[in-house]
Formats: sequence, structure tokens, C-alpha cells
Amino acid sequence: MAQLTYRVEGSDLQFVEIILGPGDAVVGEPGAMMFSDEAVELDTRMGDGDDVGFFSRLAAGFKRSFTGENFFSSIFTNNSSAPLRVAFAAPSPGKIVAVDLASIGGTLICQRGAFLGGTRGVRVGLAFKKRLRAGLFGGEGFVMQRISGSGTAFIHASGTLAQITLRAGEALKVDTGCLAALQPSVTYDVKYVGKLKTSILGGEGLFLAQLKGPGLVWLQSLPMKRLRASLLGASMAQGRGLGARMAYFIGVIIFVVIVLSTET
Amino acid sequence: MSEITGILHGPQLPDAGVPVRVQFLGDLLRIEGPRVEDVMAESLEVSVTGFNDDTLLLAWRNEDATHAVTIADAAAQRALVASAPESIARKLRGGRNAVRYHRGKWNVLLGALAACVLLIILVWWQSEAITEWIAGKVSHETEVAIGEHALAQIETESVLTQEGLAAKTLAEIGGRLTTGSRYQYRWYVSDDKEVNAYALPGGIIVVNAGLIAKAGSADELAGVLAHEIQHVEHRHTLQQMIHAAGWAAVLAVVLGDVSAITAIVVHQLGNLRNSRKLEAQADAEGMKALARAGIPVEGMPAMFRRLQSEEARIGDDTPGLLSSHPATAERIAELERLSKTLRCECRSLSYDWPAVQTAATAVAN
Repeated sequence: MAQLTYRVEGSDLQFVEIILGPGDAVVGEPGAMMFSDEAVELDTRMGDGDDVGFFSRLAAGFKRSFTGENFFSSIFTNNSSAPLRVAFAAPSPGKIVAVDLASIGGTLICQRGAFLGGTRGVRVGLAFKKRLRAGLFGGEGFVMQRISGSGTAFIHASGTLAQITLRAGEALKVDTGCLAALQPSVTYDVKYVGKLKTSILGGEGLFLAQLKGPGLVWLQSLPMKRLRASLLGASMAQGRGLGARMAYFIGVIIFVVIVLSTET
Repeated sequence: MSEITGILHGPQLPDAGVPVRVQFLGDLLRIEGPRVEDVMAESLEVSVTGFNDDTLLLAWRNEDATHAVTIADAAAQRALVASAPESIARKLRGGRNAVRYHRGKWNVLLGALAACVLLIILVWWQSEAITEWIAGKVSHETEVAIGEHALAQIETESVLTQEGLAAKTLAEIGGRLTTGSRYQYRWYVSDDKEVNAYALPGGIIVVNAGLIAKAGSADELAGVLAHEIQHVEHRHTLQQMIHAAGWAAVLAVVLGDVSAITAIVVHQLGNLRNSRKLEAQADAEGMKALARAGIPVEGMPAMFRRLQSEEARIGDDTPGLLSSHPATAERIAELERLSKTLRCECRSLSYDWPAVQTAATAVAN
């Protein structure tokens, strides 16, 4: 398949618009599609949408669902003779990045649920983190996604995505949860912050992820846990204020009604 | 020789690195990528990298910049170690061992977990054989002591007596059935009106007054005794107590409550359920014991038949003996089949049965 033509639109709430040449096909997560041209044919397949046997597809489906993706894949095919469009939208505020898998060695490891879509033939597998402390405290859990193939994969992450190159032996301290994706040659481990004072008062938690080169890493600026905490905090504060005010007004109304009814 | 491929990282190269082929040429490591480069083998630093610590990293400094080749494939790693010159071989083997350690420790961990699960399944599946084995290891003195403890427990709940016509009849019939036994048997009549009888470890047989009142003849009582004696002879009760204690111990460990053990064992004393296999064994051996003692073997099936019809008549108010000794049709059929095959110079027991029954009823009141 020829190189994929695409355009990422929007600044913080992005979608990617892909131009499908005649005969081209892309896979997407069910529910990720935003719009497509009338003539694009949509099909749902178990697993990654590969043309393989039933049990391989079943196994692929289970692998996908373990990594936070859907059991099924949607396949968008252009069977017409003219180029057609299909667009996938990110499910949360953040950036969409296109990764050319061939140029990074064929494999990319991502956080759960990062895969949005890609060239047909891109597979989503399991990357099991075989290190207890990293699995427990690294913020990504034990299961990550291993995206492999030779085409383009669209991954999304919340917040802004930063691509950082690590030279051999170069290491980076990363807040747990900020890791979005990494090349498989990068070492991913968890280090204890080391100072009780820092861990309690510093607001960074007890552990920090450590990424050590060589290779590429992608970091996200707004991990779900931060977004969730700030939204939860805001909604709680708002809710409590509203409830108190409502109770006050209802109290006043009841008082007025009682006063009025006793006066006559 | 198989081709060894890796990814070269360094300045002026794409951020993600470029695929290269590597091979040792004497003391040099030749790297064939966009350009061919030779590195002195002894200047290489070997370490382990990668998402799961399964990649070999060969790094060297050149013009104040670090260059590195990563080799992820296990076969390529092996080939590299095999072809390495002496100056670097030790470092490479060290790195390769570290990779294998990281891969291996999870196999060991998962293996240990699987072994634990298998062991639990095995213990569950073979629990009968295991309790039988443990019961076989218990000494005669311990068994008697356990029986005494159990007896003391039962005496707090019901009145047991060795006096009177009923208890004397029990002892006489039982004496005939247990000739030559290594156990010192003791025979008790309990004031309990429930139709039940049970054996305690070490040779204690308790028969409820309710059972004597229900039995049609001394032969039928002998059938029940013969059956219960086999539970003692073959240490069935002991096995069941060990079984219950084992589960109680598991519960205690899980719940962290030691008092559970005593609670469960004490609760189970009166109505320990023997498995179908043990019951069948007690039936068969009991019939043989009856035949040896010259007591009509038909007493045992007759007693079970009586209990079965009793159960049908009362409905769901099952007699106690039946709840631990289900009187299924197959069981009675099996007993009757056995009674036909056994040769026996038997004569019915000549007791004044109504008098024995009266004596038993007196105990109950």
C-alpha cells in the first residue's frame, strides 16, 4: 500500500482526516470514526482486520481487548475509483500523532487505549511489563499495547505530546502516567523518589518512571489521572455550592409560604 | 553463520536509529549500515536495555559522542556471543546472562504459581487418600485419646450410660462381633431419641435409645453395630475428623481465626459424614463380621429397609442415621446381594427384645 495521505486537524481536540486512494483500506477503533465519504465501505471484523483464520482473529480480539481496545476493528475500504475521505476523532482532549512504524523499526509500545487507527495490517498486541515495581507503580499497569506492522499508526494521548530522543544511556525522570509511547529499545523502570519529604510534600508521589535510551519516547502533558483529579475536584466543589444555595432558597420559599398561610 | 541484525543509534542518524548488520572480524566489530564502520571490540561497553530488559546494548565513544547498537533478537544475541573474540566474550556473556535472568525470573515466578495451583488441586482431588495416609500414621494411643476427648464432648450434650439391660445387650452383641480386635471396645446407650448410632475413634460405639426403640429385633441392632464397628476398625471416623480439621485449619489460616478449628471439629463430632466409598466398605466388612460371629446377616438390610420406609412415612423428617447413612435403593440392593453370597451358620439372637426396648426407652426418659 502506498504511503498514507492524512491531515491532523484542530489544536487540542483533534481529529485526523485520511485520504483513501482507490482500493485502500484503513482500520479504526469502533466508535472513533467522525465522518467518511458516502462511498467508503464500513466493515467490522474480529481482531485486527487481517485476513487470517477464525481462531487467529479470535486470539487477536482478546489481545486487543486486554490492551484497552475494542474486541472488534472497523475497516474502512475505498472500493470506488476516486479518492475518498475518512476521519477519526480523538476520544479525549489531546494530540493525535502519526507514527511511521517502518521508520522506527516496526514496533511501538503505547499506553493502553492509545491506538486510534492505522493502515490495514497494523496489529495491536500485548506488551506485558515483566517488572513488578514498574507494573505496580509505573502508572501504566502491567499491560501496554504493542503496535506492530509496516504502515502508519495513529496514536492519541491526552494533553500535548512531546517526542524526545534519548541517546544510549541517557535517562529521563518522568511523572508516572505521563509516558504515552516508547520504542522497544528504551528501558522503562520505576525509581523511588528517595526522599520522604519530597514524596509527601513534593506532589510527585512516591515513584517516578525512569526512561533510559537509546530510542524515542513520547510523553503526554495531561495524563488521565491529572485530568480526572482536576475535573472531579471542580465538579465536587461546584456541586456542594449549588446544593447549599438550593437548600437555602427552598428554605426561604417554605418559610414565606408558611408565613403567608398563617396570616390569613 | 546466521546474520546478526541490530539497530544503530548515534549522532547524525535518524532519532529512531537505523537497522544494521553486525559481525565480529577478529578483534573488530564490523557494523554495516548506511556506511561501514569498524569498532575495536575491547572498547565496547556491554549492558542490558529494552522495555523488558531483553535487549543487548553495545556502546562505544567516538569523537566525544556515544554510539550504540541494540540487539533484541534472542537468536542474534546467541550468535553474537558465540562469535565474539576473547577480549569481549566475557562481557558479552555477562550481558546475555543478565538478559536471560530477566526472562527467566518470570518463568520461575509463573512456574511457582502454577505449581501452587496444581498442588492445591492435587490435595483437593486426593484429599481422601491423604487423610487415609495421615490416619494410618496416628498411633493407637493417640487414637484412643482423641476418642476420649470426643466422648467427653458428647457427654456434655447427652446422657450416656453403660448400665442397664440395653447397654448390657449392646456389649454382648458387640463382644461377639469384635472378637480378636486390637481395640478395647466400650458400648454406650445415649438418651437421645433420634434414630442414630455413631462410632468414635479408639473403639467407642454410641447407640441412641431412639434407634433401639425403632429396631425390630436384636439381629437388626447387630447389623447397625457391625457397620459402626467397621468405622472404628478402618479408622473412618478418625479420617473424617482429620479431613474436617484440615479444612478448619485452612479456614483458620484464611480467616485468621483459630477458634474456628475447635468450633468446626466439635460441631461435626456427632454427624461426621463418611464418604460413599467408606460407607460401602463398612457395609461389606460389617456383613462379613456378622457372618463370622454367626449372627444372621439379613439384619443389616432389614434395618435399612425399615429406616427407608420410615423416611417415606414421615416425609422430610429424616432420621439422623439416614442423614449420615443414606438408605438408597442401590445400597439396600447391594446389601441383599451380599447377604445371599455370604455363607453363614447363623442363628438368630435370642434376646427378650421387647424388654431391651423397654430398658432403652427408660434411658431416654
